[in-house]
Amino acid sequence: MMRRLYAFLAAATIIALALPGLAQGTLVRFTGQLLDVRNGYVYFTTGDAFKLAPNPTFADYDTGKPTTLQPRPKLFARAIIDPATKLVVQLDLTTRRLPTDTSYTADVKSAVATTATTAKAPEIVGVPLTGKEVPVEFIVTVPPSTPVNSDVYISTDFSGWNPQAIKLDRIDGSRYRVVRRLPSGTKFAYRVTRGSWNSVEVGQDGLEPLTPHLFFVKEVDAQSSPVVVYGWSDNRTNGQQAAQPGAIPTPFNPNPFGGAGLVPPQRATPPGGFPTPRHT
Amino acid sequence: MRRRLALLVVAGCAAFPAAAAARTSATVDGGTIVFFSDTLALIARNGATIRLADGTRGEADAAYVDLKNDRIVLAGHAHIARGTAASSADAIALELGGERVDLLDAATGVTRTTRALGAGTAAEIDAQRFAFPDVDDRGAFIRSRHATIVAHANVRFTPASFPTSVGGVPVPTYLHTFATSAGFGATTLNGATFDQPYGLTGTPTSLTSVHARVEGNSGALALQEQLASGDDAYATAAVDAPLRGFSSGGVTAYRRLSPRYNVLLGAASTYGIRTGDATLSAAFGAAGGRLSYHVQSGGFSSFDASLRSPDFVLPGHATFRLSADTGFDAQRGAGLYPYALLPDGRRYGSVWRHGLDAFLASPIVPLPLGATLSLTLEGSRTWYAFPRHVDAVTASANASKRLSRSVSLFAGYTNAWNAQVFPNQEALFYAPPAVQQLAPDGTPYVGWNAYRGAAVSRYENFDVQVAPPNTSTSVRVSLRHTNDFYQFDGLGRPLWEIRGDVRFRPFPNVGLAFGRTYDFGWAGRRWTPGWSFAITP
Repeated sequence: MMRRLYAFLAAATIIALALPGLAQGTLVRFTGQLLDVRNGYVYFTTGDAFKLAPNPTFADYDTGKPTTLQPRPKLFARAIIDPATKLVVQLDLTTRRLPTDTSYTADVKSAVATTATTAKAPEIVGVPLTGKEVPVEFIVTVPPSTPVNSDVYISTDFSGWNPQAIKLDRIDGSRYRVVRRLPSGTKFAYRVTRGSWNSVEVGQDGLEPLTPHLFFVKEVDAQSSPVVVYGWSDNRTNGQQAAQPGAIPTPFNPNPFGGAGLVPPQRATPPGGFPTPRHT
Repeated sequence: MRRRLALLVVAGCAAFPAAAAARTSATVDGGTIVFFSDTLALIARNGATIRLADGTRGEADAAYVDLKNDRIVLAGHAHIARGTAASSADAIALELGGERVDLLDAATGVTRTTRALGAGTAAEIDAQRFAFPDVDDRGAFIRSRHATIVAHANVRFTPASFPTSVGGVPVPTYLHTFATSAGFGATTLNGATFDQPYGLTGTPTSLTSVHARVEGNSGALALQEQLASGDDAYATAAVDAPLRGFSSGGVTAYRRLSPRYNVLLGAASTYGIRTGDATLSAAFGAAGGRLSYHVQSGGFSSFDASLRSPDFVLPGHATFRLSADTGFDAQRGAGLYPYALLPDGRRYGSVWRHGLDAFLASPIVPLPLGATLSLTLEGSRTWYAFPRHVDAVTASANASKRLSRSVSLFAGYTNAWNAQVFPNQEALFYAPPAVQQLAPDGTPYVGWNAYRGAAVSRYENFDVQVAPPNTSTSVRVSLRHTNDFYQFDGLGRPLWEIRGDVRFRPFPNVGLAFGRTYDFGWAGRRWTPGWSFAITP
């Protein structure tokens, strides 16, 4: 009797544990050509976008095993979506053109985060903007030629183009980041600087951009604004070594030490030696 | 006396065009006016009165001016009048520059008319036009009772108070500029450890401002005039007068000639040295080129023509760039240094040079334990018409490690090798010094005798950054070690330094940033260059 009871309890436990999984249903799929993968979303050329799970699996489309391919535009992919969470848990990648898989069309719709639309942007049609504070993340990727230990700033029109208006924190060797809480509806223009207008960002062609970056804070929970800086206006390769404090001392940089007064070797030391520098 | 007179003349010339062109769009009066610099929202309460440039006058319990979108909302017992025409409503929406006026009556709905306030027509309510933000006054940047608005340019508050949690900081008047032309960021002022501008007058295309500055260890006052035309052109002029020492001044003008070309002209006078520069930059797809000419008092001039390749992406996502330049250095009426050291030095009044530069950068490479590493290598050689060449090779490595969402570690190493080679003339240019070099404390420095034209500079840094997420607080401590060829008890860069930077937001509307550097065992010098300090919006 007791054995039957234990068997019944064990079976009930297994069923209870399995029920949530059963309730989730089977995974659904969406197949298409990749447009982009960024900010936690995968975008297809159809205009459909799906949110990625925190740690999605990237696998080879044919073998199902981990792949060295990284998601990028022009690749074809099959997104495997968990209908319970509506998140993409696996992305099968291939360079081979894939036919559209229509067998899951009805199930996929509920997981689409955004889709192709001709609707106007909220700032144009006047979606109600409550002015709630929205965390806006600015991520700036700087070029490798950026001097070591540089500080990077954002200069905005609402701060009178102060070149040090918003200072960014460094993430790693090439990226800087800051989060500012801005009211929804805020619309502004900005440029990236290294603290001075003599060291402002330039475009890929080496010239200052025709227009600043424009940004509009939408009525959302959070927003991100990634920016790539291709170069700085003060980058001068092959430049002459300036005779200035801190420059590499050579006889042809005769006074690199400011007030210390070091001179070319031909000149005699003044009586009493050089004055001890205090502050430069 | 001449300097003061020049300062007055420049001040007058700078202020005149801006003042003459300024055209007020509206004035706002209220028992209380609060202004938010991030959204450019101006809200008047306790009885608001708005006067527009065409004579339209509006009154209400409260008023909201959206300076970004030129939108005005009068709310509560709203009344608008122009000449003999007048209308009243529960709320009125109008525009700074447009003719449309919407009157909202809680009982009858919206009536649409124009600034002439003729007979209106019934219309659907456009909720966005009547949106009145629910803001927290504690985050206001400025409090005032009177505001004068120049659309797309600036707003002047009279008087103005900058609220803090312990009381306001009052000033008689304050001009806040929000002109959209990025050219207003340009300046000819030199770098300073503190620079606080104070606007005098402004229009959508000009701004005249005074700058209170700290340059090194001395205070300075500067006057600056800026002119901008969209994002295509700007001109700026400034006179900087330290409270002791020399004054300096400069003019810069920029013009985007086409999507592929721009030109930059500049002139400056600092410590009695006058300089002039002209640069033409061109873009050829992702490649670029530049022609530049520099001239300065004393007869020195230089010309440079350079070409830069695009960034080539190598296997493994490394990038590679080549650049080349050619030009000359010239000294009028004398030999060019260092060739002037030669017995026939006067022959070398101008010397041509040609250079090549290669730059290689690795991608961000992941390391064990979640760290990352990036590497760069740059090498260049410049050949001179006189038998001489200059080589430089610089390698750097930067590693980073994020310990948590708040704490990050950074380490960097830079090795720079520079050499100046004078074939067959080494003995002349690198002769042992006839007189022994003396360090600042009077002791001989024998290392200089070893100098044969090449030197290595090494620089290492280790940084700790603490930046809690979702706050405006950041602390950064940086330990730096420099190892140069010529570095001796106060000469050259300090051996060991530690620098601290702190950034925080003591009040909702004001941020502060402090920084200071301490030198270890460096000729008795400890703190350089004193405090750096900034007020941020």
